[in-house]
Amino acid sequence: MGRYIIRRLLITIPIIIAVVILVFTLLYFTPGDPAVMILGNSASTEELDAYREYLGVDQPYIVQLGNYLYQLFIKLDLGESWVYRTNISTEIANRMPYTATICVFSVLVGALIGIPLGVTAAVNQDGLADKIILVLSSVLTCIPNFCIALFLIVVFALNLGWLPAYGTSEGIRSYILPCVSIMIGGFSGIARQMRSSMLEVIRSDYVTSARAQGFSRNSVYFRHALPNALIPIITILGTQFAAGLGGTLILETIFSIPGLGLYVQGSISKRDTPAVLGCVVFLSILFCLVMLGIDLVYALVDPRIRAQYEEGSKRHHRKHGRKERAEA
Amino acid sequence: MSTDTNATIQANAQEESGKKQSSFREFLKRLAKNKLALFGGIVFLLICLTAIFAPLIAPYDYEAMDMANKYLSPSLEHLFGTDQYGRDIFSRVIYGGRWSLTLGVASSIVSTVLGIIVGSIAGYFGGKVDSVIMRFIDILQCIPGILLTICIASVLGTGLFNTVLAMSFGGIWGTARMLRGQILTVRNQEYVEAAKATNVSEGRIILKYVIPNSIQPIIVQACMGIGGTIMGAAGLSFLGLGIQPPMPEWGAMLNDGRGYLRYYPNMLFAPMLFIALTVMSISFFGDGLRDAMDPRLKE
Repeated sequence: MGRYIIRRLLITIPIIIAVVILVFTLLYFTPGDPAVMILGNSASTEELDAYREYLGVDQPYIVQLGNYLYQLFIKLDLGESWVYRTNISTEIANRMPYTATICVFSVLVGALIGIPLGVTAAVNQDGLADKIILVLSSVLTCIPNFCIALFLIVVFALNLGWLPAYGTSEGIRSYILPCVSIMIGGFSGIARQMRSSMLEVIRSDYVTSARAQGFSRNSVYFRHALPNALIPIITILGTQFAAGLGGTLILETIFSIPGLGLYVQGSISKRDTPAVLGCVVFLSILFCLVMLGIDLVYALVDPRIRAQYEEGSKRHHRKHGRKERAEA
Repeated sequence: MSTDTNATIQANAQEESGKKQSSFREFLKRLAKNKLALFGGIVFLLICLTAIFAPLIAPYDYEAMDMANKYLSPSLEHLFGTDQYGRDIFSRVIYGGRWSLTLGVASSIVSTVLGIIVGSIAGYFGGKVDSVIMRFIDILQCIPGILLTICIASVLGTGLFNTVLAMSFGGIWGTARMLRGQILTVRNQEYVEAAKATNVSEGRIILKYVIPNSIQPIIVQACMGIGGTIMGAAGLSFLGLGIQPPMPEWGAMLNDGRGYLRYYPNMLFAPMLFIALTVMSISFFGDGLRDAMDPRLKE
């Protein structure tokens, strides 16, 4: 298992480097001259040239890429914003808590609501509860989260006045509407997945044989079937996290929450390439690590994956042994 | 001998096509039995038709401003009321379907076709080409989807064509990976081996044997993808990165009406309703399509 973790960590490093190169290359082609964007049209040619040199954008692509990689991986620095001249790492560190709070809460609460709903639906397959949950979750997954957010603002903030419509000044109350807007899509997705995963397990032979041996329905469903049905949900949480992150980025504009999403959008509209690049790189690395964590948890929980790996390492040993023998 | 084999192959082919037709009919029958899927299909068709025949259905021009009738509440004359320039929201939503649906359908088609090409290249050549493509896909899947789309959209700029490109880019890789997996399994099936034995070329095997047999899940995914892309494109326009406000794209309309949320929330109702209704109908239809195609669910 330790070997597996180390191997997965080692694979992640080149992937992260490749992600950085890819995103850098993509944003390299952003149209518009940054010097003109920042200094304005009235600046003279000399001024513009000097500013380009100062930003480093007069260098060829490969030099710029090299500089960025050096700065990021050796100096561990995301650089400075072109527009505000502030340090991007500090900016991200200041803004991340807002984004993380919304994202993590909405995914976790979504899972806590979605899993029981999915199980209820599967256990009462084709019953009334199943039909209600199925229709509800299919309908709710079809409404984009920004529509839900606008709707919630109109009802709960503007008409009823229960919760603030924007900002973060009211502490936990400010986070309720954004979290709920993302959670609604999340929990219906999880409920649907949980239902089908649970149904698959319930139909499997070992559940039938446990039932035939006289175990009660509830004990078989909840003690034998449920733990196995939960395993695929771990993977779904990864996708939910990505969706939650994306949702948070959009919702921050609606709720005026000074998180990463607002920063990315502001930077895009001001053509502040290093800031956009910094955010994308940061979020991609975070996402990579979350996916890695999920894979590890998956391997930890699912003996089949563990066995697969152990078999692999045995084969590896054998191959090595043969090589050594051949060398001898 | 060779004429003999040809004759058998032809006979087989005829039998096959006969069987195919009947299995297609059976598929339609099963699809028709699923009320929810049928309902979804009909609703989606209706929304498409209203968008196509928008000039005939819309009571007003979508650009016609009427400053005397700003911010009207829904009435018989203006079904969904009017916006801040006195434009009829019902007409705008119907015309908006042209942009939103085109975005959704075109992006799905582009990403599916490109995904099929990339996936079959990976599956067909195997070896180094395959591992390079797969590693590239691994890398792309490390970037959260919406972020990648936003980046591409900001590099390409706004407009229908660029938004279609930005939206479809993210969808290519899932399809490619799926088709590649399918090709790897189908490749080892006996009928492919039989085709190889009768000296059918590798490319023809992929086109005539492998792809038709692995295409079903991809069609279902593409169909379900339309809903996702419509939502995504609306989100992009909502952020001001997709279709720009004077155009009545649904997301852009929401972005437009956002500032009037406090006093005229009914401006937002129509675009929201149409986005949700469209995505829902596609999702119901896609679910039905999947169930009808899945041979394991046959009674």
